[in-house]
Amino acid sequence: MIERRDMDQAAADWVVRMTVAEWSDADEDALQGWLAADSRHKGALLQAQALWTTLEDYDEAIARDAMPKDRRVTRRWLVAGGGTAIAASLATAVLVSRGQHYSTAVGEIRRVPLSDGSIASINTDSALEVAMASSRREIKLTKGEAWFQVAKDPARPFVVATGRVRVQAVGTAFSVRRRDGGADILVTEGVVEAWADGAEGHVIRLGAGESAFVSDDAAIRPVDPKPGGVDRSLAWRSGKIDLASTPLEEAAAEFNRYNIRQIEIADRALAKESLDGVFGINDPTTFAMAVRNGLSVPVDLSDPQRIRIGIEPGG
Amino acid sequence: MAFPQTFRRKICVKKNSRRSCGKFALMSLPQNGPSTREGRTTKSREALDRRRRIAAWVAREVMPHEARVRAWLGRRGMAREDIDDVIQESYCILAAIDRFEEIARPDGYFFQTARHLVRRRAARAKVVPFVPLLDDDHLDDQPDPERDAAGRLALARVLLLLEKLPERRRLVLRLNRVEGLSQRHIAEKLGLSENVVDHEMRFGLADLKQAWDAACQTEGEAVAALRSIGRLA
Repeated sequence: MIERRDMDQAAADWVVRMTVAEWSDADEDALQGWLAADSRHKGALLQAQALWTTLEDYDEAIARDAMPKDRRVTRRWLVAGGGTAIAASLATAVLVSRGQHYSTAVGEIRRVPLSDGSIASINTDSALEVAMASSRREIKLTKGEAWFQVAKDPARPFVVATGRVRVQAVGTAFSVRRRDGGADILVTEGVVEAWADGAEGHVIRLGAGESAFVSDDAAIRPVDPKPGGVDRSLAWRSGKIDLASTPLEEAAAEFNRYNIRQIEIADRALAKESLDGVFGINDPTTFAMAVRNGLSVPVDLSDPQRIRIGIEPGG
Repeated sequence: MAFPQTFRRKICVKKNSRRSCGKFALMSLPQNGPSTREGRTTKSREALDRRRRIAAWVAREVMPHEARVRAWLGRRGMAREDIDDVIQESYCILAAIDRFEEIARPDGYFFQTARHLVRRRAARAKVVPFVPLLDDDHLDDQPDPERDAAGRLALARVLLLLEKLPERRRLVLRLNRVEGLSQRHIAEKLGLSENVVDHEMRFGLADLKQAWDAACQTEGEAVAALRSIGRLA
């Protein structure tokens, strides 16, 4: 054991020396001499240097906004909406040729580490396909929404494709949501470039806190950033819906993305009422009760399949 | 662990600039070796670069699976010292691979290498190990997301080990590795001599290596024990 410690120490000395000093031919020769002295030395050096490298990724891991406490157990968590049926419909990750497919059920939110060190948070009712190649990291979002924390790798651009819309990043964080005829893009960190396939001349650059809608026919519509707007729009990543002066109809549509039990606005006059608050994504009932109390309107919770706002139970 | 946002940013910028300069130019200090003033030739630089690349690859793709390989060796009834030897030899073989980037399943390769070494020991045969690059069996049970998570678990494990080092050693490693400070800056900041900082870095890394072996071994034994009583598939 003492001998092993000596070897580890010698390997550590070399690794630190490679880090802090200019590396001359004489250094290289001396190292080669040490490596040749014992066949085990090259393994010891590799291990020590790999450990050293692991520590280097420390800040990136922090920036990745990972939750160490939860990392082990809740890489994926289910938000059961309306009933237990959804909890049973586990997301599937199927390895198909080189691409990997991920999908989520209604009400499910998944956090998936990708092989390049990036992380994808996949929102409700979404599907994506990941293909990691040596020159490019390609993600195809076929439906729904996902947020990506991209590991820096300038040699391999990270490209998300959805419909004809393309979003490219090197090391940054952003979300893409598939919409009819295009996609919403929200940037939380760094800079991304977005364009429509075939219209590479029309590239939009978006920085942190900015968002835009890019349509499949290449029309680009920057969206005015609201204070806290991006963070609020991505509250789903922590299982929350964050409303700030949000019209009731929009809020209801948001809850309906995640839950089988759908909210209906029976009284259309209420549709534009604006609401504030933070709610659990899987808890439309609490939201409905808050609406009842806040707006002093009747709410019908008698039907397990739906919640009707603006109508008396049995009405 | 949780740094304020601005602090994070700062680290990232520093790191980028360091990278863009390559060769750690921002942190380089002349060492008290005799040869640092000679120009480095392409060949030495290439050797250095290659070593960095393979170390990064091993850190990302191989090391995270060490505990699992140790568990497998443990189930074969191997003693700790023998397991250490096999793991050590496996890394030696990995270090000698030319086109390591082309290995499709590095964890599988690691596994196969270790398995091969075990067989060779048993047979006492003196043959040069050869492991086909794409041999994947024994790992099909491992869903990809699990494998992907292993890297982050490995980082978490290293961070825990770092926390257990003596205060000064931990601080020095952190300032250098995480915040990218040079030895001189660390020396100034902590009121130490550069020699002491250099010493703490070298011994800190060796400490980490020893602690890493022990941690992987313990985890491997735990996994092996759970498997043997049928609590893990």
